[in-house]
Amino acid sequence: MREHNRIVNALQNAALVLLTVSALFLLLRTPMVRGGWALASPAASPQPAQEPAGELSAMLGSVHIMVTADSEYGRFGQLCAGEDDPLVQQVIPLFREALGSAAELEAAAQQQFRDALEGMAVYLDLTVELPLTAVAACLGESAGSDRPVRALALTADGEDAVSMYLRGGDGGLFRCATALPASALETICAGVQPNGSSFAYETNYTALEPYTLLAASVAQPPELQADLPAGYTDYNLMTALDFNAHTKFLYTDRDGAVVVEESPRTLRIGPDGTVLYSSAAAAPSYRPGGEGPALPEALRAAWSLASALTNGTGASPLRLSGAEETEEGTYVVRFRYQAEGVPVCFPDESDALAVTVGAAGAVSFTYRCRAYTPAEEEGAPLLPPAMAAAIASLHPDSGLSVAYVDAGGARLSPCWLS
Amino acid sequence: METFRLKNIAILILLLLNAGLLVLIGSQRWQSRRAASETVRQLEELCAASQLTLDSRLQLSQQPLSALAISRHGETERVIASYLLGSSAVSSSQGGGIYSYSSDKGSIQFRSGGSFDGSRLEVAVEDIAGFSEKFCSEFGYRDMVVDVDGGTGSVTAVQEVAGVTVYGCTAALYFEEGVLTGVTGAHVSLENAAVESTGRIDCVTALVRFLDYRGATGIVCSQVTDIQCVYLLQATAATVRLLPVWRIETDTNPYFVDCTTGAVSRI
Repeated sequence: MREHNRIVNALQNAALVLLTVSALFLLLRTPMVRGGWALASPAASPQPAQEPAGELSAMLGSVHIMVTADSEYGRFGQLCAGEDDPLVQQVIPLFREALGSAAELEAAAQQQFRDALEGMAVYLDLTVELPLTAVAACLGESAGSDRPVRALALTADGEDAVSMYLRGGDGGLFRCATALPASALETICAGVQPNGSSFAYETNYTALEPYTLLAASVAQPPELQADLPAGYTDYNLMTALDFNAHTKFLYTDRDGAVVVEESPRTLRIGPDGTVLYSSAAAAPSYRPGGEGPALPEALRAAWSLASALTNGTGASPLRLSGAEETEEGTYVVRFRYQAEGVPVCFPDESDALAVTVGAAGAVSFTYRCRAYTPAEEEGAPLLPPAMAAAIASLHPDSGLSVAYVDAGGARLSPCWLS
Repeated sequence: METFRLKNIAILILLLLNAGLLVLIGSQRWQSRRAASETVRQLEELCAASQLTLDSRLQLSQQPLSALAISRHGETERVIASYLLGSSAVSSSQGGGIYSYSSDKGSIQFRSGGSFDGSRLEVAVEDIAGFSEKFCSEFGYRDMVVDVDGGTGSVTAVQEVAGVTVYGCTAALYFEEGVLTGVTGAHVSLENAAVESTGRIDCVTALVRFLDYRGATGIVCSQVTDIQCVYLLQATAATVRLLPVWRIETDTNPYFVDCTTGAVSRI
């Protein structure tokens, strides 16, 4: 009898273990638990891809792009191509490789450049003039020259390797050899369908700046609603700028602006969206790396500040529009707004954000806080490009582009800007 | 005696739990299979209404692949260069992520996006077919097409990773009178590849997107002969990716349907 009990007990134990394991197994196979487990278990979820280095790449605004296939009348032009544009995504790596492998710059003649543009070529008009160092930094490379650049071009010149041309805002042209194989350019050029675009020097509009890109057609940008963002509050700005949001050193001046004095920093928050900041010493958050002021570090510090301001208030994103060194050894980094890939300008040509960056960090800045959202209603269509070019050509040496002009109103329409 | 009874009760409860779970899982599977077959039936009806037939051998239950972020693998580049230029090939950085491998037989450049290019090479090859076949087999290229006559011509092939074709990763070897004179193409390595958690559309949805595209663009085709999930090499400003796409073969042209966006493009 005892032996029988012992066997039954063992069988009961075995059955309990088996059924428990089986129940657990089945439980894990149920969709609810499988879903929850997959979310909870790091091993079951895929390893997220690392964000690529080079956070400055987002600083560059939209560009005008012209791609020339190796055939007559084979140009494809596009105005205001944003960073998400597939063609821009394709050509940016080429410019990064060309900049990184560039040899010494040498002066180039206009005719030499124009001849080079007759063959396979990619022309990138930055729409603003930037130091070459800043352009290289935005592309994740370094450059040996601070030469101001308005446009860059890669041409094949019938050689195995690609040549890079740089054009300054003053019309100066420079060329350098690169290690980029011509086949890389060929792949891009072969992939576009010409759309009848041309440079101004190839047309009857010779009064225009010669390398103005005259696109055959332009996509109609939407109307915009402009306003102060809902997040434009003293609290949000002070938090974004690492001020004590509950400080007692705060008062409202005669113009209704809130002034915060937190020695050695002063912040003035205007009721119209204008923010002024000055400091005898930089805030630690925006202290650039390294000892001496170098442009890439200044750009990084300014970009960090710009991101803090726009993220903190919910304002529209900013894009780099200029960077220059001052006589005091500081850098002034300028930004403008960009909505739906189209630049937004102010009538007084002021900047959306201008930051002075010294060796210790951001010394001062002026900021115009604005938020732009596409309006549902359609506005008046843009003038046809040919008509706009004809009108613009009445003003010698002017360029032609599409932009919004923010004069303070609640509604912005896209317009041609000459 | 009490323990004996308690254990029996526990066994009974566990038996009931197991039975309940089996019923739950079974019903879930039955429902998902039923939903899948219903989806396929609706797709077939939709296709029939659009005068498009689906080949009976199509496997509509295929699962989409995941997108992969690719890292550069210098060692693979070195091995490819050594195979083509000999083991004496020396590497040098040209800047901008371009690496050049040179020997007395010429030089080949490797770019950060995975592409490589070599021209004006002087590599004498006795057996072009064997040389090309070995190259393809060592570096994962398939579907080799040999177009060589009298030692002059080209050999092309497309790369496969983990058994999946990678469009955009082709290799072309150019020969002149028994001499390898040029090489161009792209190669990716799955070393350090990271899976990206992007939304993926399934096979049936891809076909519906293709139907919409066909209706909107007016392309001419009457039968879908094959559908497979393949990779497409995408080297952009930010990163190099293998994008999963559905390759839809029709009786006229093949098309890609992006597994993430559903965008349709002609190959």
